[in-house]
Amino acid sequence: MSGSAKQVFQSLRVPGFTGRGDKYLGEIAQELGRVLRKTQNRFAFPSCRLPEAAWGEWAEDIHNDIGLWRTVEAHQQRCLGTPLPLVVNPDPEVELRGFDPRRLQFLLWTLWPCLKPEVIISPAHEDLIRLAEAASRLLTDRFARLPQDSGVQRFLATPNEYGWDIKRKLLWIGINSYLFRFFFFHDLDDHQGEPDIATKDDFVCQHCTEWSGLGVIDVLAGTLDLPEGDRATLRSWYERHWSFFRVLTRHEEAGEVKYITALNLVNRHPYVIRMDTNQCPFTPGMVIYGALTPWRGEWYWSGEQRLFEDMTEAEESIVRKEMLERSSSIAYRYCPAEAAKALEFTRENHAKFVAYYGGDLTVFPDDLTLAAAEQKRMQAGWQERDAESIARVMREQGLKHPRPRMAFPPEFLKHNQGIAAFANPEEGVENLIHFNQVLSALRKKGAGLTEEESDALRNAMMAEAISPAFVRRLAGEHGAESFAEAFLIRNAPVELALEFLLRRHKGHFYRKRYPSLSLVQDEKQAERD
Amino acid sequence: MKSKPKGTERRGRKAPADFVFDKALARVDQESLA
Repeated sequence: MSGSAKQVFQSLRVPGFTGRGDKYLGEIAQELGRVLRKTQNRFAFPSCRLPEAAWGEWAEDIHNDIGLWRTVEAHQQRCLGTPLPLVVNPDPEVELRGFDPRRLQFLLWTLWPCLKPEVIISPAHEDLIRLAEAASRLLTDRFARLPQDSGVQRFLATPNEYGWDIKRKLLWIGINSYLFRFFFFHDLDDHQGEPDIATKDDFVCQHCTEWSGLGVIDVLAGTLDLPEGDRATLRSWYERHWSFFRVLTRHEEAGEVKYITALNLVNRHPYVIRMDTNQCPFTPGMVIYGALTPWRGEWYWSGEQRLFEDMTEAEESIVRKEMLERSSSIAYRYCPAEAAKALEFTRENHAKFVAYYGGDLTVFPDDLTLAAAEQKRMQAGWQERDAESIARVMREQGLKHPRPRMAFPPEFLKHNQGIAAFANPEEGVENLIHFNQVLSALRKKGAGLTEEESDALRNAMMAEAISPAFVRRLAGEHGAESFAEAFLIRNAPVELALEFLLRRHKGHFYRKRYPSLSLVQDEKQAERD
Repeated sequence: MKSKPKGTERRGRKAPADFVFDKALARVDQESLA
């Protein structure tokens, strides 16, 4: 292997863990690179190829039954009825073994958006199939003689006693493994982010990837040999408890702070936080802003912390009010009563929306019409409340008119291509721009879509804020053929294609969700709290 | 499309952090700087 390729390969390995098979992987990857380049000579996009190391690492996973790939296939089998949707149609008889080319086809197609995002490719593209077959032949031949012993496997088999044991594995899988590292860097590009601590923590704990919505936590939970309770705990790490914590006690042993206890100032619950350090600056009375994740009955800091040494008890009610009003979707994670109340209000608002517009979906020609109609609806809703309560909210929120402040994203301004408003009973109102194109595309049932129409459908499918419920609402009325066509999915049942796309692009909606509605906290009540 | 809901973790990170008591993450960060 060339010097730089070898360096890249080595940098991705787990430091301190080597298996007997590891030394062969570099050579196999290099050989594979040569074979694939030769195979790709006549391809439409010969310059686009999965880095050699990734093929080798995938094969290492399969050969040693490490479990990353196994977890993806098991998840897809469970949710979509087939281990490799769009490549292998649902069939109880299907059994995939070893370096099956269909696995490689799915691997390359799933990672394709990270390699060449500007080109949409069909999962059944003949170039993908030829490439997968060539790689499969070579890997089958070369791995047949390799010992089943991998450094990655040894690393993952180390104890899982403490939260940081798990976190170390989570970080390696999320940032270094073939399964996730391309998505990590793709995510950084999308958000113009730096690979700093907060970004890494967000990615490994909460990001849902194109592996049918699986996050790093889900794959690690499926891979490690853990009791079911531990698996469930790890899968809950996307709900980090971000809050302000007042330190209550500090427990030392043999010159080390073993753990501290702290009160969450928003839900008033105590937490036992494992520290195991001789450099703990936290003393009773201090307030720390940070996030906690649970592991085996204790809590662990996740990411960075900020210290507020002189926050008074009187300020605690303000902190609670601000978290519930400004960061409600985080506070609801550990304030179930408030979350239930927000859901109740959201359902009430949904019923009012349906009664006002005569249905859960309404379409406006442009941004101004939408704003005017919504303003009128909100004002009508407020008029049902008593004058004193309206005056109080107006005073507290600094409102000039008796209706809530409405803010639309910049892309709504001067938009005149149709905006659909869908009332989701669990989440609130969702707005979709370019709805004229979406509608004309859906009515074509997948035949003869223009580039603009395909773009509009892809944007709707990939938009973070548009729920599966909204997409299903549209597909229920007009069919899902055009969604499948916009992604060049022509070889699978339309219903499967739709469910797969929803899982792939809207994975976060399959986790626990909270209403996008913040409850205005009564100041007097906050003071009493 | 509706805007990103309030309170996602990407908000409010302007002030620098004081500590990283996430042992695994602090270690990875140190290794990437090395």
